[in-house]
Parts: sequence; C-alpha cells; structure tokens
Amino acid sequence: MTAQELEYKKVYCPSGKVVTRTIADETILVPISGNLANMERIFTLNEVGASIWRLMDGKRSVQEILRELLQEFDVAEDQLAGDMVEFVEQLKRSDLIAEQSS
Amino acid sequence: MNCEHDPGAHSRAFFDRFYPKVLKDRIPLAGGIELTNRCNLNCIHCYVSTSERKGRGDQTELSARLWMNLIDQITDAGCLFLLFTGGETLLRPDFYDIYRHACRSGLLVTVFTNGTLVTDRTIETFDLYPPHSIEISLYGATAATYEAVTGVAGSFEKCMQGIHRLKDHGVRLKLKTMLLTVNFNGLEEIETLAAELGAPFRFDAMISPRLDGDPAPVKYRVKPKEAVKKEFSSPDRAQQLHDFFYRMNRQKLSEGLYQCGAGRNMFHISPFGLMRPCLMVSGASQDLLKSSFSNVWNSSNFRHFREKEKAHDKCRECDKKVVCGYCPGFFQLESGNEMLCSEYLCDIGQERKQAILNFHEEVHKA
Repeated sequence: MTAQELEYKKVYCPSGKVVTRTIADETILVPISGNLANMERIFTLNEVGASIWRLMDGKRSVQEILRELLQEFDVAEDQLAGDMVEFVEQLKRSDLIAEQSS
Repeated sequence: MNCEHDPGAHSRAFFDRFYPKVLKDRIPLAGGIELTNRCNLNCIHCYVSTSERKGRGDQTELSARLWMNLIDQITDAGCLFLLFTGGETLLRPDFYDIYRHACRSGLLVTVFTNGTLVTDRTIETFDLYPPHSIEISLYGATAATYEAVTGVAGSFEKCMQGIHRLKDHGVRLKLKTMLLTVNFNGLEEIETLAAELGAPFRFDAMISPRLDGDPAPVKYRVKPKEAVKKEFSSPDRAQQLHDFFYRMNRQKLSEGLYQCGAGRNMFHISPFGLMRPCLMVSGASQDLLKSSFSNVWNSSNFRHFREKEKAHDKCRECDKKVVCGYCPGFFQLESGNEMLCSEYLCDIGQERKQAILNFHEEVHKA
C-alpha cells in the first residue's frame, strides 16, 4: 500500500485546540490552546478547504471526504486528491486535526 | 486616549477581502468589555470617575454568568476581537472564568491590566489559553516616576514582577504609557526598559477629562509641540506617521461625524451592562439587562449614531484630520459638544503635520 493510499484510509477530526468560526461567509479557525507559536495567527479557509474541514468529523475517511467533494465541486480527481493531501498535511503540521484511532 | 481596538493584519489578502464585507454587513467584529471600574491604583489621568474607581458607585457589576451569556451573544453576532479592560481586570476573582469562556468561544482576546495582580492563577490560565495580547501600562522606569502617576507606594515593584512573570512564561506582552507632565522626562527610560524586556511599546499624549466630566486629568497634558517632538525622536515612529499621513490623504474619507468603526463594527460594554458605540461615547447607551445584544446593535439609537453626518466645518476639509487624533467622543468629553473640535488635538495635528513634512523633506534630500 502506498503512502497516499494509507493516508486515504485515515480518519481525522478537529484537534480540540481550535474553534471554527463563520463570519461574513468566511470560515476562520481560531487556535485557542496549545503551541504558543500557533496563537499568533488565525487560519482562514477557501471554499474547498472549508468543505473539507466541515466533513472532517471523526467519522469519514479522507477517501470518503474526497468522494463527497468530487460530487460538490467541478474539479479533476487527481488535482483535488493532490490538493487535499497537501491540505491535510498543513492541518496536521499546525496541530489543528487529530487522527482518530480505528 | 488611544482607541482600544487594533485588530492588526493577520493576512493582508484575507483582510482586504474580509473587512469590506464586515463593514457592508455591519458586523460587530471588535468589542471592548469593561469588567470593572474598580482599580487598586489611583492614576492621576484615569478616565474612570474617581468614585467608581474606588468602588463607591451605586451600580452593580454584571456577574460572571451574565458576562458569559453576553459573550455567547457577541460571538453569535460575529465578534472576533474582544478586549477585556477596566478599571483593573484582574481585581475580579471571576475574571479567569469569564476569560476562559471567551477564549473557548473562539474570540481573540486582549487583556488590559496594570500588571500588579499577576498570580499563579494568572500564569496557569494564560498558559492554558494564551491571550491574543496582554497590554500593560508602564508609566515609568523607576518607582519614583511610576508611582507619581499611580499614587500607590510599592506598585512599581509589583508591576515589574508581573511583567517579568508573564514574559518568563512566554505570554505575548505589549507595554504602553500615557505621556504626562509627570513622566515626560522619563519616557526614554521606559522605552529602553521595554526594549530590554523585548516588548513592543507605544505611548499616547491624548489625555481626556474623566468620563463623568471631571477635568482633573487635563492638567497633566504635555504641550503638543513637546509630545510630537517625542514621537519624532524615533525614526521608526516618524516613518510610520509619515507613511500613514500620505496613505490616508490619498483616500476619500467618510463625510460622517464619526470616522472610526464605533457603532459600525465596534462596540463597548460597561461593567453594568450598558452598551455603547465606544468607550468615549455615552449618548447611545442601552441596557443589555433589558435587551439582547443584537437588538441593541440593530436599535434606532445605534443606527442614528452611525448615520450622524458631517463633521464640524473646521474639521471637514482639514488635511490634519488623519493625524490629529480626531475623535468626536473626545470633543464631547472636553467641551460637551461632539461637533466642537479640541484645540489640543488641533495643535497636535498641526505639529504632527509639520513634523511629517519636515521628515518627508529630509528623506527626499537624503
């Protein structure tokens, strides 16, 4: 199994160190605890990022989220898959999501 | 008095997109909550009335439960930046419960404190839920200067202990002072101390009468020429004022009386639950014990405040307005008339404009 295939099977949820706010139609992630360095900023999501974040509920796998997004957005699967893996990596690096143990 | 809200720019591109929507939809993005008017210091320039500062007022401060309920309403309405101020915020034993609730709600919380009441609980709370920023007023770099302002023996040592404890625990700290006749000569020492502590520092000479109209603080004002000379003693500050002046003068300013976000995307709530467009403006006050936050925000009082048009004739076309500290709330406190510009601010504007033009000329010569 490739690294990407392994990643697809994983299930994530918000880490609990961040609060999701929607203000003026923008999705804003406000870190509330944890690494001080993260507290310097807020995180803002574009439309696709906000949809990924909404679906990352601790129940759906990355692959399931990808399938739902392909129905929602008119975008090539390869491109969306690549963007999504990169986005998930960013969220992990920023400690905004935690992997659910199976 | 400085405006209390400074959201800053987390991401220029995001806020360039975000702010126009916030303004268009009149979202109360930033607010200030005065948790108490009581204070353990007795600062000569404080804008809080002396009786309320000493806890002798006849009104009852909102309970923690009521504050938490209000914070829920404020959050639902779209607030992102929340300031806790006073009086001295840390005087309330339930400050920590209210603060935690605000952080957990997803608000970016700034706390104004005098720093003299920092305890283990303060450190533990800020460790667990780091504030967006803590701002401490440091009125002097020595006990003699500091306590000439605060009027309380031993307060300088307590303030410095508080600052060091917060710094040692990595709390983001900003230092500031009001520039007064009694600490004017010590300003450079305060700046040096702030630099040694690695904390951003700013000062402000705009002393207003107290909110109850008591003019006592005004006698501690520094002369405009001297205040501006201090501002321009730092090349960085000079550059910032210069850039701001030229940037703002290229923009078309609003025709409205209030040029700031007061009542448009900012609000203020007193310790007793009175909501108004900003700390300085009491005219449109409404009681949040009798009405919800959104009802007050959308009320006719607030709408009339936002729709007030036309500045004073003298101010309307004045190109110093962008740097004079123009504030009808300040005018109201000083003269009882929000349309009547303050001679003090006008002089500050004149001095700043001249200093900016001189700086511009020097830079271009170089």
